[in-house]
Amino acid sequence: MRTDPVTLQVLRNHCRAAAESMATTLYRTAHSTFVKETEDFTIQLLDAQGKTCAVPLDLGATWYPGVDYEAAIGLVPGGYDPGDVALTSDPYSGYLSTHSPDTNMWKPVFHEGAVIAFAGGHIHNVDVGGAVPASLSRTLTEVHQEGLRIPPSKLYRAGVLDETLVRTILANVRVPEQNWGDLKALVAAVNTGERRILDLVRRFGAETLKDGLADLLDYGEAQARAVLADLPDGTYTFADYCDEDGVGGDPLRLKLTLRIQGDSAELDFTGTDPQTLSSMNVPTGGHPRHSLILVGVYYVLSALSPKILLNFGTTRPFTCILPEGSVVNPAHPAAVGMRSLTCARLRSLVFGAFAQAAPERLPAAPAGSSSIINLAAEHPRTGRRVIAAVAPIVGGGGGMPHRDGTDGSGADAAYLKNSPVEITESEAPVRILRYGLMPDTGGAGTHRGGLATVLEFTTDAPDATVTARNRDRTQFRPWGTLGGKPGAPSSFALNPGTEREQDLRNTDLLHLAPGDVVRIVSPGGGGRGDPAARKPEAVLRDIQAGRLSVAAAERDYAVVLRGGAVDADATAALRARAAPRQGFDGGPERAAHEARWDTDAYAALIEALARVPASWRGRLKRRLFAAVRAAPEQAPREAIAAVLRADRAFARALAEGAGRG
Amino acid sequence: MAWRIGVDIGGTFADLVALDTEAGRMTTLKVLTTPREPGQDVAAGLRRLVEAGLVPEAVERFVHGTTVGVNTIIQRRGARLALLTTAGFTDMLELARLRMPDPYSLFCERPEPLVPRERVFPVTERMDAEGSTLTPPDRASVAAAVAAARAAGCAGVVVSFLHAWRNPAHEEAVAAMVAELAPELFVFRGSEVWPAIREYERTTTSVLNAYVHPRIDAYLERVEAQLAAAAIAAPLLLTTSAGGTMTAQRGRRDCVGMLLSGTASGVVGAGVVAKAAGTHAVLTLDIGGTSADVALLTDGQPAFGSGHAIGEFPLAIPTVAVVSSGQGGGSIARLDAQGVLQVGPESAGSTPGPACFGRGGTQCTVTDAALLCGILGQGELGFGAIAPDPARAEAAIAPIAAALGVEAASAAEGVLRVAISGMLIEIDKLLARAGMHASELTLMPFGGAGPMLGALLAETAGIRRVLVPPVPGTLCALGALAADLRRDTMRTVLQPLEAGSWPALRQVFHELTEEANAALAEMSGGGAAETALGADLRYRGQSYELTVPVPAAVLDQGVEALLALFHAAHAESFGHSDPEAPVEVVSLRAAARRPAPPLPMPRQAAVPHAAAPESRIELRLDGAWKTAALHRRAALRPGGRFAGPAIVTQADCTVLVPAGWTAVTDELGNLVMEHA
Repeated sequence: MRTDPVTLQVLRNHCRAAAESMATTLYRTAHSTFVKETEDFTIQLLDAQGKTCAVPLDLGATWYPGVDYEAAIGLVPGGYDPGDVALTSDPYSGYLSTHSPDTNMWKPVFHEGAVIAFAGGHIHNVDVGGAVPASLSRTLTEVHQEGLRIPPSKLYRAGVLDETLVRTILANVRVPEQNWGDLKALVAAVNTGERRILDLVRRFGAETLKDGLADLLDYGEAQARAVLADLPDGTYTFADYCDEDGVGGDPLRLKLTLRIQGDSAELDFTGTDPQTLSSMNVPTGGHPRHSLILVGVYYVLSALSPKILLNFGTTRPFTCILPEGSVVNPAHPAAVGMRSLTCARLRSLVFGAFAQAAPERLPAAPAGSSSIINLAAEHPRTGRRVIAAVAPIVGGGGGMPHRDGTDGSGADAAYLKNSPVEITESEAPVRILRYGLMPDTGGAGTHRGGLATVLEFTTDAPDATVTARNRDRTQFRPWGTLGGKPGAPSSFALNPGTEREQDLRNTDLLHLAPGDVVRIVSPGGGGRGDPAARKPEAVLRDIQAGRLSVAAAERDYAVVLRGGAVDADATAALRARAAPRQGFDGGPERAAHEARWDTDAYAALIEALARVPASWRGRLKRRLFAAVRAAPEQAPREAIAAVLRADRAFARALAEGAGRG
Repeated sequence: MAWRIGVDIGGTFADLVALDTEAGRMTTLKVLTTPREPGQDVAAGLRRLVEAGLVPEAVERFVHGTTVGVNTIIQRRGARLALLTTAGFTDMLELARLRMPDPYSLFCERPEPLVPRERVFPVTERMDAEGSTLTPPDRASVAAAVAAARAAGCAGVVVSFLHAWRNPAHEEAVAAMVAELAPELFVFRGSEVWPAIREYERTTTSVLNAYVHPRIDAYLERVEAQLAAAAIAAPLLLTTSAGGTMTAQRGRRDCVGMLLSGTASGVVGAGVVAKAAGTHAVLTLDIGGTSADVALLTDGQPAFGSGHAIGEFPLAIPTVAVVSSGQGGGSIARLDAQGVLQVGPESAGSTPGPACFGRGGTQCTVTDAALLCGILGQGELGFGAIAPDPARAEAAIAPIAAALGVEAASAAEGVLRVAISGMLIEIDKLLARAGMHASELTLMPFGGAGPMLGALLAETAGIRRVLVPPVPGTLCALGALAADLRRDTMRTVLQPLEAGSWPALRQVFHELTEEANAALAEMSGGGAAETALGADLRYRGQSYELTVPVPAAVLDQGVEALLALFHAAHAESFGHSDPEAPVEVVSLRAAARRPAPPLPMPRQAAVPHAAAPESRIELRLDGAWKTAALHRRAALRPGGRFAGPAIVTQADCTVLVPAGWTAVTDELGNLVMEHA
């Protein structure tokens, strides 16, 4: 390194301080409650190439500590002058913003006529126009329906605001004052960043700063490489599933082959399902180190090396292979708004692959699905129409090497906040009947998974509409490892326990009649280790704390209770009869799915899909799944072949696909 | 003849300040704390004050700050409690507000609640958001909960129900049932401890209160016995988290009111010094063994905030706003796997302490580094209680220096630079939150290690002026002497701020004022009190509120005047406002205070002169050994000016004046340093 080990740490702290003051400025001056409440924003201090060198750790979302602005920076026409501020919200140019509500912004910082660094950040705008309020829905099929897209453009040219661009933005969105207010907060943040970077130039000198930023990346890289070097070399394959690839769709399989060699790793997503017809696609442009793909990696590295420095350097030892036309590298104009649902599964996919490399050091699957519940209704008392966030329904973490998974939150969902019941009930015509942990939902294990969260509410409004974003894991459960059982699946019920009960599964839109009761239960975290090895006292304590039923204690843990105490003899006898459990457990639904859709079936599917242009693949996948379902006696490969032979349209597409090479 | 005494008990030392009001003379001293025999340290200090001329019978005011409450929480040695909640919400303490510390880590964890889930019991009852009963409290469910609490060996019960801030009737009824069914259990109600909206914050604050209650009660009894034994008749007053004082009698139930006792009174003490010196905007810096605490003062008044973390739990009540970073005099230096120097957050604390203290510490700390740079070791430390040993410091830093390939002093300088840059992060966040620039501020360092590092931190943060009070080590005890008797009341109202609701809001202000004044009168016999009003306001749809001070005149001027204040405050704090948008009142507040008798701040005319150093020493800074002046604080006279690099030694601390700074003693005895 060019920088001495004392100055490097001093610079690291100064950069972090600069990033924290940018984030605090953004948080303080943001207009929308959404930005304040969800902290759905990030801040980056970037080097002259647009690589992230430092991020704040106390505010904001956790997804972009290693984000790369370089491509988007290069797409702004006409180069840069001092006082420029640029932005983009187009998921298909530069692959920086990954759905249209996200606006990324950056400001070049000049020293002696040259760019020495950039200050950057992003916010999630509540609404950017398009087909539906808030611009996000699984029903959308093209990015054009998802609201305004701004390709990389200058908002300020040499300090002068582009009024035309602002008017265009504001004309296209539903709550223009809020968007403009939040954009101004982001401008204030990058201006703060510029001032702070110039302070750093004065303090350290331009050359030391340039070298220091480069060394911070090398330092991040060295820490990540040290973690990889400590993992056994090998090839680890893993797959995980979203329940549906669209409303009422087929399972969406994500597949990862992780190749660890020395201090490097390749993440090969070949075999992952094609881009979907819904908005669950994750636009990456095939960037080998796209931050959205690597979020799971940041978590794994932080687990294996606490307090690790996260920046673009962290991503250098990793190379991702993201097949074109797959859900992790969709072709324009596939819709992308609900990519966050898929991203949750991408994280558990990465966790699963690394858990094979180091099962003894990593946890089982976290719940992996955080439903965001909103209610829109006219308030009977005030007559005013309100939209209220009821609560995020977050499930527990996976069982850990050293303890149980955290109940009701944790792992990769620990950044979410809830709203007080008292505030929600004061603002919206909602009465919350129950908000707490759901017993018997944590995957059984030596260290059990964290419990699911349950929310039950009713309304007396005449016309309430409930939206539930990110619903998943009602079918494919959070997996257990090393003999641990999977966590309980998620559920969504209308009027549970009555004659009018309805199973809503992954429904994301629901109209309520007055008096209807909704119950939503998140998934539970996966268990880790053989449940029969769990200490009976720990099982007893769970029972006393209402986390586990006596029946589940006997069924899942082989612990027998008598008169409120553990019956040691009966427990020993029962445990002696229990078959030892080891390895991975994805639950019965996954086992059933994979019994039909085995390796060969998926190979046939992927081969077939690869032969048609990207835009055809989602439709063809639906056809093939339907055909396989319709022919339970036939091997999937044959059913697939039959469709390809019989269907002219696909045959034509096939020919075109082949023609394009 | 009359005396006033302020006492602050810290981790290692108990500080006492005694003011002889007639002579206008202040005596300060330190004694070692006696954590095993609480109260003995106070007794020992009093004996020494008597030796120094104190007349116990003439003590008219005795104010005490203590960390007994905070320590009870950190060490988890509080009461065994049961919590009674609304049925359906028994997991409230587990879920908290969901977001967890360190959200990047898959292994992030939430602190274990102070009341474990097996001692949380549901009560069948429900109130709606308007405060109307939906389901009255069910006696059978209360009886079941009380029986279970008894069986679990609980000492006390917290009753905290949904919407109790709006209507406490259910909590009151259930508390009465508990008292009847189990008179041996003490009971706290959420609506009594903190009657504000947000059920988790209210409940956890009530739990903190009940958790420390028995220990604080017993402690105060011991201190009162010590005072009686010492023939001091003045009632025991306690410094509060909000920078005021209250009677010990009230502190026995209002335990959360004194959790931040010592921290807050340090800031109040700094405020006294700042005000006397006419310094407008001050950043206080209290560096102890494990942390650096900073706070902002405007014209001597501290900023207030809520949500301060006590141990790992948020405290909803308003407190003096202090932020901490994990770098203190005891913070440990080490090299990470990549050979990069790290300092803290691991700390050697006061035991084993820095290596140079010779109490068993072997790892290099910030204090050891300061010794190796020649900053410490030029005079006595901690009133002569410690003689630092450079050989031990050198041995501790040797592995780090060897790995860095530099000499010990160079490594030591690196340790200081890294520690200072770590403190910068919290300071920058604080300033960004307040929308302030470093260049407008004066830094006031205190605590054992503050004055030694203050100027270095100021330089790093871009602060150009540093003011070191005459006895920086005893600012907390000074603050205790200076703190006003004070009672805060608040009520959540959650109503639109508009003409229609204004008469009702005025009525609430009136009731809060009455309530606060009555409490104040109960604490001390009457006399003039000042009342300050405040309102927590927000634009409709916002989920956070802004506390706006409400001058009494506004009550007569009408709702428009308060709206205008809010829009202006919003613009000031957040950079924008929307005069057209509807505004909501979340809570109203009143604070009644009876000012403490003013402290004499004797001034001595400043005669400009060059202060002559006592000797020359060698100081390691900016990469080389340099000759520096050594001054004794006691020898500095008002108007005496000298330039850095220099060291000033005094009984309670060491002040570093780096090169590029000049220092002058003002007429109050403050050492004021300015950067060229």
